Amino acid sequence: MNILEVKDLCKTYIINKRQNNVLKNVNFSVSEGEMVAIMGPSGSGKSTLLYTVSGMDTLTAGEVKFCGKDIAKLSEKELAGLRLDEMGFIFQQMHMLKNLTVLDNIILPATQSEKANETRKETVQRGHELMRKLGIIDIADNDINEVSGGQLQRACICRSMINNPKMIFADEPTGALNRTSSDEVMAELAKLNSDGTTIMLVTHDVKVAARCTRVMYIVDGNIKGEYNLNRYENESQMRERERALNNWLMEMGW
Amino acid sequence: MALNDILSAPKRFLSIIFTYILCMTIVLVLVTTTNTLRSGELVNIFGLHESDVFLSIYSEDILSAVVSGEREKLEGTMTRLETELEEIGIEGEASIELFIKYNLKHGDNMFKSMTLIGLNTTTDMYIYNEGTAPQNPNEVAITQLVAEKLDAEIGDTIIVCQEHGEVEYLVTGYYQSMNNLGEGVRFHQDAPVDFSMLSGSLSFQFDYTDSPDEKTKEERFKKIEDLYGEENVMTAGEFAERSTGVGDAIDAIKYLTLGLVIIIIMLVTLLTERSFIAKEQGEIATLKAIGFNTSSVVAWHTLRFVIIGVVSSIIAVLISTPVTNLAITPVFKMMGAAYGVNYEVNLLEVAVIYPTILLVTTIISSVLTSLYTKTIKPSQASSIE
Ligand SMILES: Nc1ncnc2c1ncn2[C@@H]1O[C@H](COP(=O)(O)OP(=O)(O)O)[C@@H](O)[C@H]1O
Ligand SMILES: [Mg+2]
Repeated sequence: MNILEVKDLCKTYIINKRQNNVLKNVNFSVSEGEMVAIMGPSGSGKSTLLYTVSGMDTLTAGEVKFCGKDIAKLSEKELAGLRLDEMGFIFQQMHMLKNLTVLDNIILPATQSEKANETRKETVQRGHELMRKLGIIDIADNDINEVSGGQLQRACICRSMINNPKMIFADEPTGALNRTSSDEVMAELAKLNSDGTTIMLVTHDVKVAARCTRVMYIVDGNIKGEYNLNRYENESQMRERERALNNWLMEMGW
Repeated sequence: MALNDILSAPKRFLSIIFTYILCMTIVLVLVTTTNTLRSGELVNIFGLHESDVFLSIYSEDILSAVVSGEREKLEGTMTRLETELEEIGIEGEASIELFIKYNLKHGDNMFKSMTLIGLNTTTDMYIYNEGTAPQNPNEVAITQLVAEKLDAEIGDTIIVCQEHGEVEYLVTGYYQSMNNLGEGVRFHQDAPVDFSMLSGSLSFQFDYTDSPDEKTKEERFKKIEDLYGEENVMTAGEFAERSTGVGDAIDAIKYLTLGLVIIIIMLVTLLTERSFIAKEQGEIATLKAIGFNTSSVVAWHTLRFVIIGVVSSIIAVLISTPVTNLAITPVFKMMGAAYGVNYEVNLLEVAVIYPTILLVTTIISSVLTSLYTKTIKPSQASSIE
């Protein structure tokens, strides 16, 4: 079943009376359980695509259906509710509230949501569980400025997961991390995906993209090509996958 | 969450808390001052006794009696007043305060001062701040200022240069009076004072003899107003207010200040919230990205101001009384209330009504300002460092 359907999506920014057509008639769909990577040169509209399909930004034309709902027809409040309960977000440099501990930041969306209907104790328990899973349980009570970039990014993953979303959107989630942290974070995302969460992520990193099930290459606001990979199974396949993907990307003009 | 913000970064909120407390305290001080000026309390510090009714009637009769020095005529007018009120079923006693100017002497010190004698009152009806009431015709109470000027104390004998020669009086107590900027001598009711020297009087005072309850007092007051006209009949508070003549002016200042304070609070709230929004744009965008809608963001930001407002109000209410003492008591002292005033603190107004007005102002302006967060797009979450 398709969780996300995008039809003739256009996005135009107007700056100083000059139109900037960032997305031009984009069509694609994502079915449940997929892990889609979006790649492309800088400024090609990758982030914009992510924001418009997740309801964080408005669309200029076209149609985006998330779980069958036309997001253009939803109010700001309904969109916020959808993002709260059904979507998770991870950005390259994500803000957390400085005055809260890491744990409190992670469970913040849960305290706002009416989805789970649980006590604060239960929420904290779930928060701890997620943190344990991602190996950052030690920093639960730390302040935000006391933790490293890799830990923070994993905390962001925890936060994006706290309301058990159907789909996670990630914009260069490993962009600010070193190789080791990046690999660890990607491993976690892949794990989430194999547990059933659909993921769509923007990346510049071939190693990151090689863990996905599909890669979309976008140039100048158009999808120039798609590349399907088998489900990633073990580390030994990794080199081969990367090499194949690299070749394809070269063809695309990477 | 909002409380957390304040506790973890109190510095950011310090200036706004300070402004709130300052504004609120100023308003509360003025509220208490006007209330005090309007209260019967003040009659005491005019050196008078607190009567049920003050009547500015028969002033021509009084004036001519004062000029001619006819004690009988004054007493006659008082009896007439009592009879008229008795006819409408109100029993009581009329009295009046009379002024005479005399030279006072003690040792080498001598100066002319206003003196006071009550007609149909007794000296024990007044309030003395130190010592006791004059018990005999040759005893007087004086004000602090007179004591200073004469260099006399309780127990000393002072000389009053009266028409028939110098007369010695024993000082038994101090009282305070805002009449004549604090200069005054109170004679015993039977003191040998020659009424031909009278230089003035206050209006008639009237006291019920049957100590009625508040409700009856109100009904009677209405009746007396009907008889003599509203503008001539005053409560102790109204009389005090009219005597200082500043009640209305201070009232006007109070409302003006309240208006200014409301504007200041709105501006300060607006500017502070705008700077918060600017500084926290990233956090706000992130919250929106992860599914907070504008109204939860507004509620979060407004709650901060509510907490600050409540805390400031509590502090302002607590410090308003000492501040009033500090700021306003010297003014009363300058006017002659050497022993200070008992402030009339209306708890309802000071602790509830005015803080609420200012709190509502804060809430409204912070809600309106934080609505500006509507323009922050969730997608800004990643583009802002
Ligand atoms: N909020 C915005 N307002 C105006 N123009 C924007 C905005 N966001 C992005 N753009 C423009 O859209 C184009 C694509 O940006 P973006 O989607 O961030 O590219 P990418 O993520 O692929 O690097 C760029 O030319 C950028 O200048
Ligand atoms: Mg981008």
